[in-house]
Amino acid sequence: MARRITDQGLQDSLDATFNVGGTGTPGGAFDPVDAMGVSNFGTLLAGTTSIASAGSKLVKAFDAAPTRNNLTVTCVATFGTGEANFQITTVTLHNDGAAVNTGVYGGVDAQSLTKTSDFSLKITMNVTYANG
Amino acid sequence: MIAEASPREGLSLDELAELLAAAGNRVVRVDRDRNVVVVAHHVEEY
Repeated sequence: MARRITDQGLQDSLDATFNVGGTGTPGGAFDPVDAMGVSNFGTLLAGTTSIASAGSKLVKAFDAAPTRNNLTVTCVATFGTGEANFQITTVTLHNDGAAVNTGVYGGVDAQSLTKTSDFSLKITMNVTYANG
Repeated sequence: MIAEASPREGLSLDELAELLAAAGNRVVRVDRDRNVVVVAHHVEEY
């Protein structure tokens, strides 16, 4: 199982932290990670930028803005009974908004979930930055 | 990552757990207090 922040995600973090290009708003958000994707995408690589090649996929906005506790950010998305009813192997975080396959920040692959209309699926992704 | 399944209306938690297992999902635990079936619970380090 690969769990990774992609190169694109790391670059976005640097851009946001250092306001690269000066297009951010001091004290405000900068191209934030705002959506979660479920798909049958294959292995997440450092160079992955999109899940468009996946046969089954759905990218949805977070249920609410992510929260942070110290160095851990928590992102939650819920897929309703009528959504994402396919085999889910990969869960991704995106910063290009809902219903867009690009902007892959990172995620987890090699999962084995089969979603059906018998249930809704709430997925919580925690991202922790390590110190040392 | 934590993935939690909530049953549709008319489906019990136990029935959902059986359906999930039959579909090849790994049932991590049935949380009756929260009325969910946990189907994935990993701690990932990036």
